[in-house]
Amino acid sequence: MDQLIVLKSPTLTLVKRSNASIGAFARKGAPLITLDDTGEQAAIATQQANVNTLIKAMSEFTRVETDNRMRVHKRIREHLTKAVDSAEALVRLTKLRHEAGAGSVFAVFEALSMATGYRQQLIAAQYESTKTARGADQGFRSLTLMLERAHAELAFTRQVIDRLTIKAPVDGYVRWLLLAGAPVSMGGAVVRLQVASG
Amino acid sequence: MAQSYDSRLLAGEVRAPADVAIEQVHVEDGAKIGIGTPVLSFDTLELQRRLGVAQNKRQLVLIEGERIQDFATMPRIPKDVTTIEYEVVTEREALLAQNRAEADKADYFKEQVEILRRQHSVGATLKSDLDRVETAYYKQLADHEHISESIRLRDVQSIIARYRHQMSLLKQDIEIKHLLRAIELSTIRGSISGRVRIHVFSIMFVSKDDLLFSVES
Repeated sequence: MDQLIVLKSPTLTLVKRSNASIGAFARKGAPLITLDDTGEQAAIATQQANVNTLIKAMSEFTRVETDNRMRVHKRIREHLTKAVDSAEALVRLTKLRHEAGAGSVFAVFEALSMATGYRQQLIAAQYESTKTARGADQGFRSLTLMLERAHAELAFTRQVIDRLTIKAPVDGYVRWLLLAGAPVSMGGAVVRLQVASG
Repeated sequence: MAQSYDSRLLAGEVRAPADVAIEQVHVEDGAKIGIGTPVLSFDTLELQRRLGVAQNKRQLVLIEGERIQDFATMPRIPKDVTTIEYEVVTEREALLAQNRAEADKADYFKEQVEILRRQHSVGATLKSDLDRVETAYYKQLADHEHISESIRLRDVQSIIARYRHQMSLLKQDIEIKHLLRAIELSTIRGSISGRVRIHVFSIMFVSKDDLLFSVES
């Protein structure tokens, strides 16, 4: 069977290299023509830089750093819990003194105000602590997803580059091919291959 | 831009619907095929990439949803309750002052609720949340009561955030569904039974209207 097949370019570009010569026998999968990949190589460089940036961001987002921050939060909470206990004791005392006629109502207000202030600080500290823990977890998962995506984009561009090498889809003889430097349009013929019989 | 392909078989002869690479030929030249037999697949590299992007984005949207949920459920920092704890005559005045401040915010609240109502096309839960917040807010304002922490503007903000989150998630789900369908359609199947004549090979790039295969019934 002398079937002649035309291999076409998947994109508008230049022929970078001819890997075969006219009349040569090509085995299935052998590279015949390599198309220009300057744009894709530039994309690879950008995507690699993106991967590096994300890896750096993740390394700065370490568990150790989060643990340190959580320890600080814990110390603040402990300190404020003691402060609240003391302030509440003072409120009880000033109330008793006032009700016994021995202390001013302003002293009660003052003590209440202080206790309320500490309680608010404690709630705020608890809030911050939970927020830090949750934020660290969510941030790390977001970065992981972004890194996965960046790796996938890199793999995609490498596959695109791989497809810029036109390979013989079947054993055959090269009957015609474009030479290095030749421009080619999308769908334009780059190689004519005569399918080897048998 | 990636395209999806219609897998209809035209009168026993199938031509390329666009400029596209053949990913794989599934049957041997001369083989017998039946209705629904996969014959060849077009390249889905770009579709797979977009699917990956959409699925990745969906995961990020879900994490954003957790943040929104955290925002809504985190413990609230109470206001200064000195005057409430210790019963003095100034308590009533303090509450009235508080309500006046809240009343000033009512216009903003009303505006936000109106925006939500106009956009309102998704989610019965969201609608009932909105109704609950709005009813409670106006009731307490009318009753001249202390506006409770549970229905402050923060609730409206978190409802808006949840609404936007639902929309983002819906958008991603639609995108993923569309891409999965496009990938499925990239496999050309036989729609009549017969012997197949294959005119292309795996990894070949073909132009629109190039003959791919024909079926002799």
